[in-house]
Amino acid sequence: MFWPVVLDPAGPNASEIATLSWLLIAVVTVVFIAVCVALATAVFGSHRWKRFLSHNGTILTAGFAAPVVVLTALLLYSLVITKSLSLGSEPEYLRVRVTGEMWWWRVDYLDSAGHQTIGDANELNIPVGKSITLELESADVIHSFWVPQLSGKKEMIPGRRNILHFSADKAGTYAGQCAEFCGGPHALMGLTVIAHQPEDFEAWRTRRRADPPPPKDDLAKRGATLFLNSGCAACHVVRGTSANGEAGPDLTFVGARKRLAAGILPNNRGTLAGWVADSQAIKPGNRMPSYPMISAGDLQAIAAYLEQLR
Amino acid sequence: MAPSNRTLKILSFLGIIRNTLARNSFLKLQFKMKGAGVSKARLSLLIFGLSLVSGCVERPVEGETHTGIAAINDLGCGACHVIPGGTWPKSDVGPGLDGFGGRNFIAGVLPNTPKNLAAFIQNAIFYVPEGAMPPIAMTRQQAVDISAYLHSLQSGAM
Repeated sequence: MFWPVVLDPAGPNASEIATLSWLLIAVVTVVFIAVCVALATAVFGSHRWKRFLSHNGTILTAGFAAPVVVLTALLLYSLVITKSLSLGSEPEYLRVRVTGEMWWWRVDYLDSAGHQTIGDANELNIPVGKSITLELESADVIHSFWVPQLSGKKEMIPGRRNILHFSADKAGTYAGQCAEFCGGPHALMGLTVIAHQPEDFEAWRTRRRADPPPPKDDLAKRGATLFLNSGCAACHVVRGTSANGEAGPDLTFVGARKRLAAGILPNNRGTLAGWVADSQAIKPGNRMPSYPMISAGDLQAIAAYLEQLR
Repeated sequence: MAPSNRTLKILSFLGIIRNTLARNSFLKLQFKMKGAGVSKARLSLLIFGLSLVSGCVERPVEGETHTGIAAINDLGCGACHVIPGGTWPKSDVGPGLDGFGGRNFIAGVLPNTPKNLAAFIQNAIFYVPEGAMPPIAMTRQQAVDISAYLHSLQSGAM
């Protein structure tokens, strides 16, 4: 697994949340120590201290007024942060629709008219320092989009479109995770976000708009035929071929992804083969069936084909 | 080109001798010799001589077991194999590798030496063309370390 990291911010949203978290941790620590000292004094202290602690004025001040003031201040601070997080600051540079599916993420890069330009899955590529807008939707149950190093979590609710504005400060690869229990393999619903330098992002975008090159070696060619003829194409899209199934993740550039099966496996020809042969052993309950009847030779060919889709 | 059947047969035969000598006899010998007060150096010399006789002294492959298990987890070998010490997943598309160090053959074909194993895990289809394990991109060092780790696995270590 590629687990998300918290309290190591790589973007302005996450920085504000990290500041709030540390502030809360500091305040809670002070309060906890104060309560422990008061408790110890009440049990083991001298009569004078015990009298002081049981005095009405002390109870009203320390037990009522102080919590009201501290908690109200923290509430106001967090409300201010929440508001600033929900507003996009700069002009929007990139708009992507991310749809939560059981148990993966559909990723559609949109043009200014809201049409899909690049279809992908389980991986979100963004430029550093630019304002990103995500349209968060769900295809089935409630999911939650959470990449802690970049932003707070936001629900993906069926029949609704939630908007998340965020940006990344530095290039890198960040792990995300579905943060709302969505059934069966919810814990295995991961996401990878890759922040590129802006010029690298543009190069990436140009490459991705084209179709993947056709397979070159014989094994991959045989894999391509098998992919189309043995049913894979009923659920998966590979642009430039007749594979146009929409039920599962877009595999046009599956070989270029960092991770497989929604963030959970490294991506190489071995894990591709293992996933195709027995995805149910790796991610029990996921909607792709295992293929125990597949022959060793066909598995080799399909894995070789998928690996070179890059 | 896959190695010819005859080569494989000869290699396997040597592998059996080597395994028998190096594993079972070695342990028994060590036990007996210790009782008889034979020094470790002399014992090593004896074993060295024995392995010379068996005709299968092999250039040792330097592998680190702890980086081996890290590489196994990084590469996701668990997508097909149950491997003791592996984190996740634990799929059984391929054979479980518990006790792999005590096995005579790799994929039932190749003598189970560290060198053979390091070569096999990088390009299994070359050695066993009818097998399902695809070639997997990794560094030579990763392959050698994984081989060392798998060879350290003895039965019942689960």
